[in-house]
Amino acid sequence: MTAVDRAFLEAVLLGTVGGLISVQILLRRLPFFTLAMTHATFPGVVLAAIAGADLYAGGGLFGVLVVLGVLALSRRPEQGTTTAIGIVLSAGFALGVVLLSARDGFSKDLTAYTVGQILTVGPGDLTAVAVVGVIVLALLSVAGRQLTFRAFDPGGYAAAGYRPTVIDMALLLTVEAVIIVAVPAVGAILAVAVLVAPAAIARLWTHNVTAMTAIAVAAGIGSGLAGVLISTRYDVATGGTITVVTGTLFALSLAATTTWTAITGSRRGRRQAADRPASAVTGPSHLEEVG
Amino acid sequence: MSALTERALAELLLTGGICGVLGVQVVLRRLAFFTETLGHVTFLGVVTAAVTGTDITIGAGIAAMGAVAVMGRGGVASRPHHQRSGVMISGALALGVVLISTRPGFGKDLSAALVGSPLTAGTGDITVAAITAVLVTGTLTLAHKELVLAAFDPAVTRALGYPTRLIDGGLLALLAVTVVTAVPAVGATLPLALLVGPAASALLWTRRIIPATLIGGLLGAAAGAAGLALSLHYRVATAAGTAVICGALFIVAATTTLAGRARQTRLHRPATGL
Repeated sequence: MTAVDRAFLEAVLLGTVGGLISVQILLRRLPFFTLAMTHATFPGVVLAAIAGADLYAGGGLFGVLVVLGVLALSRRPEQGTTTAIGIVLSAGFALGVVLLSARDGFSKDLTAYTVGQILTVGPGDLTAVAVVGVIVLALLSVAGRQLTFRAFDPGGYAAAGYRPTVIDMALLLTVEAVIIVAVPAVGAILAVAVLVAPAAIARLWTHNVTAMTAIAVAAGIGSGLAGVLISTRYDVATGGTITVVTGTLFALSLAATTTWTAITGSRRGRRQAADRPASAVTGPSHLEEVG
Repeated sequence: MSALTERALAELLLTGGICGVLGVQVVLRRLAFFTETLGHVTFLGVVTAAVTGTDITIGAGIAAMGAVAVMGRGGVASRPHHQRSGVMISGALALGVVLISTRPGFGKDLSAALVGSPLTAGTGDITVAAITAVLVTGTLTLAHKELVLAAFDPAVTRALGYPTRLIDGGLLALLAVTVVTAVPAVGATLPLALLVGPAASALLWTRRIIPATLIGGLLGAAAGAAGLALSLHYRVATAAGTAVICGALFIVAATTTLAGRARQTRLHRPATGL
């Protein structure tokens, strides 16, 4: 198996895993939280690299600490989660840079950790993604309904006798696991594209959670394959190309669905609906400005 | 102290001060996510300018203003969990990385654009920072009442006849100018730490806006100076050291004020994304 074959396999696996988990991230409105987790996992990976420990173990341990840290800091009434996440995000990333800069030749390492090196993934990385994929599948098949219930009706979920803390922790730890296996391939600061964008694309096309998951997986795999293909042909950074392809898919989907709702909406004389092409899934609060 | 470190000190003091002062508005309006998006889009502007050979400040400025124009409409900026920002945040950064990777030896340029290099700041950068400092403090002094009112109660502000769009747009434009100013010193990914860390700490210690703004400015400037000292002593990245100090400040502020406000926490917990 050549490096390019492994890169393709890694892209397919990551696209699948990222697509599956991204729908849950979107349903719970966690994109910013995910961004913070990716940035804050970065110092853990660097520490592990400096200490010569396992990268996955270092990143994982740090990531769990970060999850707990954000949850603790966001319990302040004055500023809410956004500020705490913002601080953890930028300070965590900075800590990684500080640690890296203590070593010589840090620009090259920084590049590898921040934007990834999918062409250098080994069989170990592939196994790690596959294992996390199994974990994600297990979580979704065992607790998929519960996750949806929790996302749409937190109050009802708690009243029905479930424990929100348990399912939240399970989800966040799974997200963290996906981030850790995504870092070698697409880097710490681009991992969020794998974890958020596929569902953002899918949500434009459908409101059904199952269909959304399917589209998200297809978008994840498609942009991964296209990214590796384009980057090997034109010799540009692979992690960046994958993300750019995902972004382009999103832009095209947005244009297509907005046009479609505008056409069908005006034909039926419903300007209101045309202004809001897809207002269902995550509730109206952050979708009002579409169009 | 050599001329090099003097320039770095001036640049970091100015940048830290501006960010600390304006950061209070960012925290009050919960613009952290927007600021991060702004930083990433600015990164794309910096890279495009560097690749095409135009002035970096101009490239960064155009990109940042474009982001404000696209995302600032209709209060998008204040919605922290907006997925379009999520796509934009990684898309802009990735496009920048792809662009920069077309040039040989791109690792060094990339790290300078990402995390800044205050030690190479020239007199031009310091002049830009000084102008921005005057602009920010001037605007915050003149429009203090309007800004605070609009941050706390947009509906009432509109009802009283204030131009809310102008106030919000002006603030976002000011934020864009600040991020662009901060890029040479702390790169495109770290202004968020300087904007949010000192200001959020100040707002934990006092709930009054004017004292918080002053404390935020002082803390920001102090963090800049401390980051430079840290980097000279231990030979680590200067801007990143500054950002880590900003994060540490917030952790100190959060723990020192935790006990006193434990009761209030239970009374009004905000709605979170979780």
